[in-house]
Amino acid sequence: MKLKSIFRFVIILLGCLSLLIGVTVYSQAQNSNNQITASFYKANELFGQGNYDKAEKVYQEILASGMHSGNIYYNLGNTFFKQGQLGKAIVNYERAKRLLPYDRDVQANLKYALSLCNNSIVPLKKFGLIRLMNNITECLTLDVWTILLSAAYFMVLVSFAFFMIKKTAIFKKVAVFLLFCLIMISCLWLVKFQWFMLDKQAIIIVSEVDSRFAPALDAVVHFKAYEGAGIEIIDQNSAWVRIKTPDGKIGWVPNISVEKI
Amino acid sequence: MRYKKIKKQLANVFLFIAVFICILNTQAFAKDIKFSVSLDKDRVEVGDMVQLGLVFENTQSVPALQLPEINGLKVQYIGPSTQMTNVNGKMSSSVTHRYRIVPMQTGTVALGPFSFSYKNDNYSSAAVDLVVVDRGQAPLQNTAQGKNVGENEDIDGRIFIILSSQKNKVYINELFEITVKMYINQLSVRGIDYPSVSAQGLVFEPFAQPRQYKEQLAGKIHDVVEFKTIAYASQQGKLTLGPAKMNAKVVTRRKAGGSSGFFGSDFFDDFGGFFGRASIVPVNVSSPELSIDVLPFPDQDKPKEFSGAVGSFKMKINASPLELKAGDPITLNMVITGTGNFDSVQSPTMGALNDFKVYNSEVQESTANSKVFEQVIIPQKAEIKKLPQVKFAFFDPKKESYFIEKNKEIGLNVLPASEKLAVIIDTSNQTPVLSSTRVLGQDIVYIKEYIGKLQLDGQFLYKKKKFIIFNVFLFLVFIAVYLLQGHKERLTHDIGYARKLRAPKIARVKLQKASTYLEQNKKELFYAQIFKTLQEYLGHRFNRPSAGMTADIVEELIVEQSLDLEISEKLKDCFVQCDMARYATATLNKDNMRAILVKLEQAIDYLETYKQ
Repeated sequence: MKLKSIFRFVIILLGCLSLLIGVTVYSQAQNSNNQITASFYKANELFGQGNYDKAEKVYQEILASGMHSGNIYYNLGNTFFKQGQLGKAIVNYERAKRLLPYDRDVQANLKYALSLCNNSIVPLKKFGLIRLMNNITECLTLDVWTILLSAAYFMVLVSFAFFMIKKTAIFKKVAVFLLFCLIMISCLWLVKFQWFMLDKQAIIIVSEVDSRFAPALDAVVHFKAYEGAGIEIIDQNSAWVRIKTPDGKIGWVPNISVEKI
Repeated sequence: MRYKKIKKQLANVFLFIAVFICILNTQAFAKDIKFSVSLDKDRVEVGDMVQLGLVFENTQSVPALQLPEINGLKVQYIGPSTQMTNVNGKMSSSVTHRYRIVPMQTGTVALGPFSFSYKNDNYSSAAVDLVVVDRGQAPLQNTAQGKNVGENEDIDGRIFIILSSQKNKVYINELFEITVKMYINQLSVRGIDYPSVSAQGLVFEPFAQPRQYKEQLAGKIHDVVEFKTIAYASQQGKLTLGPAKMNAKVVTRRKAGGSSGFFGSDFFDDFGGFFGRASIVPVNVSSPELSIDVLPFPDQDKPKEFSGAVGSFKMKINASPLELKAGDPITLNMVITGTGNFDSVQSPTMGALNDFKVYNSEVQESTANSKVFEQVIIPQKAEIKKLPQVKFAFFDPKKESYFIEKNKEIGLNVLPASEKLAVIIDTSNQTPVLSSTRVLGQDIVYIKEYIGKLQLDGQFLYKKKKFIIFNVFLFLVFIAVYLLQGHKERLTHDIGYARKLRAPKIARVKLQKASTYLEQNKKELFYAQIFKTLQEYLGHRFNRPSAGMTADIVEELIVEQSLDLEISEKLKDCFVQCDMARYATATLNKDNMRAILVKLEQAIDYLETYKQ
């Protein structure tokens, strides 16, 4: 009886703690910087007036302050699009997509910008499981995956605790099932995490660039890469980056011709 | 009536079976009978047995032959073995009459040629040579390449590979078949790797799943493992194909070091596998090289659209939309089907594209028998009335000539960019009705008005301290629950542990009571309480019946648990004073009572400190 009451107390305590943390996180999220918001509105106004270069500068200043949001990247992408810089627009739409994976406006603008690019690269077919994992992880942001992981972890601990107390087969089955879910979510979280941490995805931001066999201007040209093409950075030095295109071609291009997402 | 009907049906079934058997037999005898001779090994020691097989293919009704007497050989008929195979719907049958042959003297003996007559036809076989050597004589070096067998059973010449090519002369990009066959004669082989074939200037597909069958080669029946793949040459000239190399593991019997004594006899060798004398030997075999002559494409009649496609292909074009405004895109779907090297198939070419903006074509789908290209073109003027012609040129190596596939003329209705499309509906009895198709403009979606959820760049939830602390706290709570549950279960199941835990609590209450009696100077009650406390505490502490605890037993337990003997003395004093108090209470004063209380408390403290 005593142990039961302790356990109840622990559950209530955990509930309260979760609530407290939730409220704190929520209040922090709401506590937006007034100055940044004011700048954002100012940039929107400039955009509305067709003053795209000034609007771009203000959006860039907001991002330079260290704060960011999906909407800022989206608006900045639109600013670049209106200035005819498709590559930079795509970079910013991709950044916005990472923070707002479900936003239809972001998806539509990205799709439209890509359709205007001269991109004839046929991507290599990826192994089915990797493709599936990438598609699943793309649906949610890293923070949402982290919350899912934490929730699964909490449920696994609770179910194992119940199993220790009750010793019934049903709790054991539930605990094992939740453990399996936790492992799956952990794998997906790791895929998403490495995607962010490796920081290898980039976009060609110049209209056309020669990709060479060596990081030198007199090296033989291997292929041409066009604005808006998504590439992977596999190596870099002070002035050159070694890129890999989705169809598996590898070459060196000047680092000013690409921008990381 | 019904009986008659069944009878008639049965008769039909028998008739059908009879006709089927007749057809089978007709097919069997329609073919020529092939007669051949095989030996399971062509080199034996004197007295060893070798099996001779007379193989009659395409028949099963040839009787066994009476072999002529051969000098130096003992011949005995073993019996027939028949085989019927169905490969791709073709039936074939054979019978093999097997004979046991034991050579009695050394030398080379020619077996055959054998001949026989069957149904007025004469058949004869080739001869095979049998080499008979002395017992214990080393085997001959083999003719196959790549062996590393050492002292094990002789496998030389019994495993080898042959590399063959479907064609020796091919054109660039022409597909041809390459076959690697591993021949195994009377060996147990495991772990056969896929062959590796070295070739410069040739492009291979991975080898397909191997096929296994039996084949007669040089008078011996071999197990064959056949690997096939498709290749094509990417450069002209004389190219070298091979050597093909393969690795396998051969299960062999160890021979007894060449001694011909009692234990070196074949009899004991036969038990080699049973007594673990079999061993696995890795074998690397390689084939000779082949030369492939790769021809360049002929210059005569070479179309300018030709981009290297080799095979026999058809092209199908599909374009949409065919009614559009200038500046709107048309998607061309170009499907190439046929047989040949689809790696060499490039996008078809288009003529007269001056009035179109053209984007690069993309491969939408590529299979073994088709390749689909998609190309976007944008008409720039309203005057364009047809799509430019699409041409696809290829070289057919079978006909050794070039062919061009062209599409039929595809009409276009291109309107000026601002003009609305008029659609005329039926005008027979009505006034003309103009309907318009809505032309949708395309642009990006407008900017967002609200800033959204602001957060620090690079700051993620998993990095936040509160989040980490929360998760660690969860884990600590789980550990606490685990420990508490473990303690609870021990209390339930381990009585000794439960008593030991309860002992000091009970003792404390009772000593409190004894202390009250001391203050009130109630000697009898005090000593009774002390004795009770002593027995109960020690009983719980050592997990023994409380009533049975005496000074001697306590001493034994203290010695057993290697505790301080001074404690034993103190406890003994307590027991003695309690006994004394029963008979001579008057001799004990308040100081004695206090002293015994202190002693008991000290003993209990000590025993609690050194709890096991």
